[in-house]
Amino acid sequence: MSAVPRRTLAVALLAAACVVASVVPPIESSSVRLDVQTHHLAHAVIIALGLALGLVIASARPVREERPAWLLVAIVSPLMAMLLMIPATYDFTESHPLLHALDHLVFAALSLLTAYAGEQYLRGVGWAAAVALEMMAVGAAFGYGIILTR
Amino acid sequence: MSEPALRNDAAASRVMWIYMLTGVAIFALMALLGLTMRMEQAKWIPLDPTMFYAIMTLHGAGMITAMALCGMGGLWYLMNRERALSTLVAYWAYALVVAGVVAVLLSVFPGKFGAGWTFLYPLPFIGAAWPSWATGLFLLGIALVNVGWIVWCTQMFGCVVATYGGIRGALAWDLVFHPKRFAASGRHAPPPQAFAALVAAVDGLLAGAAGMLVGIALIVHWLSPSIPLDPLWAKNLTFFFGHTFANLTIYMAIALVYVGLPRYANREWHTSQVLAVAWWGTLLFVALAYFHHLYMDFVQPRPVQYIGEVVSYLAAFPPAVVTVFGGALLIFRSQLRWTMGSMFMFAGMVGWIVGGFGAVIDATIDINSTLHNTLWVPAHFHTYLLEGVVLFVLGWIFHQLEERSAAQSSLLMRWLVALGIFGGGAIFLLAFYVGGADGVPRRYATQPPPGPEISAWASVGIIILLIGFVVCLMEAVRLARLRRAATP
Repeated sequence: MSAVPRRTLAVALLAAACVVASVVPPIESSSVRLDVQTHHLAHAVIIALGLALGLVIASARPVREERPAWLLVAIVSPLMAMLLMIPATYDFTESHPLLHALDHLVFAALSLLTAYAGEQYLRGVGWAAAVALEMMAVGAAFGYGIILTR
Repeated sequence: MSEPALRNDAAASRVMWIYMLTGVAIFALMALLGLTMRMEQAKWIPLDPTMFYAIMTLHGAGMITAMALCGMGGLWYLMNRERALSTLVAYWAYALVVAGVVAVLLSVFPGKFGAGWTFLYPLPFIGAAWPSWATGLFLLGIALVNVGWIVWCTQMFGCVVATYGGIRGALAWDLVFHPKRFAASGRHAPPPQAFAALVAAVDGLLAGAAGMLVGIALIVHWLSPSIPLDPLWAKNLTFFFGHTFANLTIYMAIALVYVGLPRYANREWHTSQVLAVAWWGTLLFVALAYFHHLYMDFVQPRPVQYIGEVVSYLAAFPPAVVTVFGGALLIFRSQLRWTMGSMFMFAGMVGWIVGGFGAVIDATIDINSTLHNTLWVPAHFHTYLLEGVVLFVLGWIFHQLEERSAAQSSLLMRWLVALGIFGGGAIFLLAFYVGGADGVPRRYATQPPPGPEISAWASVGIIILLIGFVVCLMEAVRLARLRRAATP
């Protein structure tokens, strides 16, 4: 199998995984109420998929000279993603499955954009941006909107 | 140099000077605030406690940012010589940091935000003596500084990865593990300053992400207080961000010495296997050393406390054994040209060792349980910031001025500056160490005895030190004017 179809296949699979992970759980299990930590971790999974998708798409065209405008996107996208992860909104979104699914899709899109824009700024930067965003997403599960230390 | 290269160098030089001069200006302002605090503790001047803690908050946040700005500008300039960097990105980072500084300034004057630069949750929100908007503005200011820092780190990361062939090349992996193959390939190892850029970028991005997470959580909590935050989680993230950011200032500044000092010694500071491995250690240790800030937190998992102690010890080895010892060997029998620039760089390495020694003592859990809340803590970080980072920066500034003007300062001038900055600095710092060893608490507007007497000595030290800085500034202006006079 040549490199290009392999990438295309990876893109298709990751995109499908992003959509499924974003849409199916909120709609299929709309009666289930997740605790804040699990909800954060679920977002971290969606974000990881979006980041992987962004990196695979970007790998088709490595950028070897700085393109500053993409850096702005790579910085703003993870900020937006983290701003969307407000625990106070979880109860509301869980009772509105479509909105919840849309919320997840925005997470996936912002993650994709983070990694892709990083790689479009300069090769290698997308990976760094991806690690940073995933670290924040997972990190949020251990104290943002939740008290674990008693 | 070709015309585009000359243009690039001029633009890069402008970026460096803008960063550095802003950093030095903020430093000067913060030094005056520091003097104000010590004079109040000495009971020389009256100051409302609310104002004292507000000034203390600004002094801490401002000093670290000032030093970071100097290091960022200097290292950016050095890495631009390895690979042409976008000045636009450098200016974005600068603008964000300066916007953050302005927001923090406004949160203190007139806001009187006084929770300390560590803004430890829930302190900024409970029993505050300042208005709520000041809390929000302070958090926003720190977040802006952090975003600017992240922009800079991202550019540095991209630079080292793209220039030296990925992370493996930037780490000089092949130089260490396959030296013969590496030599045969004709490739060159990254220069020493590139390791500083790599470590600042990687650890800086990790710390920046932690800072961003806790920053967003705190801002959201400020907007919606019903959202709880785990205090231990917030403290870990805050210190991972804050300690790493502060610690990296000296690792950025040492890059200036790697390039500057060899010019005075007429020798090369080349990349060796030992130097590369030392920087790998620094990469790891800087990221993990922050745990020593949480020794007092009994709920912190115990293994992490031991990691904090061991890593704090280990963190001392790369700078002491490789960089400072390497610097001493570079100078040894080199007939070093003693100028203002080389004097500052050499003295800065001494300051780094002294401050680092104080830090290692404090990082010992048994000793920390006694010293943690005393003046010993500001003693060690003031030593490596004031007599380390600041001296490296001044050394580089004078190196630049001396090279451009083809002139240097007289022996008398060097003595005057040395007496002021090192002499006054020694009195000032010794007061911290003596106070700490005597159990004088830190972060107290009103200190128990012998705090006031010690603070009086510290104030005298700062005044002498500031006189030294003024003389130094006048000498810098003189050298800068010589350059102008020589330029048609």
